[in-house]
Amino acid sequence: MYCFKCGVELADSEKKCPLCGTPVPTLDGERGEAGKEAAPPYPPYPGEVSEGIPRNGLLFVLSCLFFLPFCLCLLCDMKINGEVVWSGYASGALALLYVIAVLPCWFRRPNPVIFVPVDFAAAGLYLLYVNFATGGHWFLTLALPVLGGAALITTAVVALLRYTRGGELFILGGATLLVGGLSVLTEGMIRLTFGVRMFRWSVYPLTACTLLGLMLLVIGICRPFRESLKRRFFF
Amino acid sequence: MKKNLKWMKLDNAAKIYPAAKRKDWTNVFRLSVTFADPVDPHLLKEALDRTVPRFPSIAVRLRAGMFWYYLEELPEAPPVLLEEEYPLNRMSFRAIRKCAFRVLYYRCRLSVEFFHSVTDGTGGLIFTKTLAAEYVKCRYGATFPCGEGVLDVTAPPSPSELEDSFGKYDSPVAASRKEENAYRLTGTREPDRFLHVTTGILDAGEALAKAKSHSSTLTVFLAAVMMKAIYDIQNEKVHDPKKRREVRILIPVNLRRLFPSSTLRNFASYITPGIDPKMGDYSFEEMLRVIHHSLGLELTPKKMAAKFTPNVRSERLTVLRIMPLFVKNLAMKLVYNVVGEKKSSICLSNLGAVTLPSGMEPYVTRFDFVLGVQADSPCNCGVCSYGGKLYINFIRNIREAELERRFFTELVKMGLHVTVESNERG
Repeated sequence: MYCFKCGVELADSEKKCPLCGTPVPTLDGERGEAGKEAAPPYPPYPGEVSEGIPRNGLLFVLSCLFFLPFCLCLLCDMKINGEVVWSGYASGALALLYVIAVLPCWFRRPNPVIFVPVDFAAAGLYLLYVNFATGGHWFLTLALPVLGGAALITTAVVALLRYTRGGELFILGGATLLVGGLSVLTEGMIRLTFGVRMFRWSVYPLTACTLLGLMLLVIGICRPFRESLKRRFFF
Repeated sequence: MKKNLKWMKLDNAAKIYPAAKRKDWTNVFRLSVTFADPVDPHLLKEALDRTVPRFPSIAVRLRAGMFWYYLEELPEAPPVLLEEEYPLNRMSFRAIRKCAFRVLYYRCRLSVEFFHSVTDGTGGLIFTKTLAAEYVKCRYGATFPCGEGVLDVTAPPSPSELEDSFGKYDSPVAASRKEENAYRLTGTREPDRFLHVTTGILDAGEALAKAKSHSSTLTVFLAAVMMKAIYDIQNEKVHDPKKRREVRILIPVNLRRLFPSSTLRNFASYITPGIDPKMGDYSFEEMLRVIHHSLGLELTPKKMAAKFTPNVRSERLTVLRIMPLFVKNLAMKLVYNVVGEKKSSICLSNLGAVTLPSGMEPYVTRFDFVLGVQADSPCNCGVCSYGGKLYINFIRNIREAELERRFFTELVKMGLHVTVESNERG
């Protein structure tokens, strides 16, 4: 049999052309018969199992590296002060970092639609702890609505991007508008919680976000505009 | 009772190989003989037992002294092994300390893989032929006189076979070793160190006639085809002509043809004809002429002697000789890693036409010469011919068969019939 790409004759033992990888075509089962009889010129070698570092082992070591300072902080604090004074913040921050950075790595294909809300929930818990530990009263009125708003927007964007095809401009445009709204909410909640009188800073991000978001939406709607932008800015 | 084992110093060319070794690489080459029938391992072992005492410089193991490595005679012949993995599988340094070669069999084929410190292709071929002759005598009861590179195993080894010819034929002048760095192929390394062997089989007469039609020899012709393949690959991969490097083909030279030596140890040098693509486009004919004339100019005893003399001189320097082995190893390894393989794009070693005593020929169907890959360069090519066929064995440690494809399709385009076989997986 000849390789029709390279023009070389292939030995009967070859299942594909060793030069270009083109499979040997079977004509009327003719070659199949001959191929079965032809002994390979070299013994089959299936290949060794890759000797890479085991992923789970690495994650285990990483987890230990997080766990060690987590415990050390608590232990030192307890030993010196007899109660949890400062170590709660440090250990809590470590735990938060672990949930955000390491926890998804335990899964082969972590789903961001699940892990994004989980990360926000963890951050919420940490803030709740700080709120209680410092004797503050800002969690319900400030942290919860702002964090919840951010969580909702981010999760919605991630979920839409993941499960719908196309429409990225609409999703991102809508999200930008919402972020502008969130900045207004943040300012309102700060006023409500701390009762401070400050200048209306949220107008600026709101304006910027609204303009940007509307522009994205316009680009999304107007196809010729999109095409011309593509032509000018491709790289 | 342990008899007093003979030992000898490494020859001049052999010294670099133990020093240049890496964790996953040693310099090895393979010679294979294919018989008409499947190999009988018991008879092969018998033949090996008879052959080993005749080759005190090849049937050896490598040992480390305080200042140099040395070769020590084997107390007994090594076992013959069934070939189970890919050819030229890594020969570990621990294995080389026990025995510096290995004898393998697979179906009808007998293969001997040598660590390069022990001998070169020519010496290895004599060992392999003698082993094959002994096996044929055992297996088929054939009787034929020795000759054609088959040695008489009952005769004692002659001292001329054991000499280090480099030191004997060195020149009063040492030639400069300075050369430009050459273009080197790249590709995706196999994670499990698998080596791909691709063999192209041509009709030797046809190929020779083609070479003659270009008024050149077969080696020059094949080197030119190889140069063109690498030249084309570089032109495709490196777009800026100013960044293109020289394409150099390293062609080993059997120095026994230039000097009256009959040593069975290393006695080979090399020449590296090359072209510089920065100077402009080259046609195949031009490449052929460059290689042809480089060979004509370089292949003289005086030039070659001047070429290996620097190595002989540095070996004789007292300062270097009294350095402990590990310091020498470090220095040689450094030199090898920095300079060693960068001066050529590929090695194309032509062992020439293999001849056998006429009484042995009916039992032997094929000869193969496979070079090992170099430490950094991914491809190498060994050529030999036997029984009217030309066997071109490519080896590579990368996935892409680009060089092989270009080389063989170039031969096909020239009207030569090429049959290809390989050890490809799946």
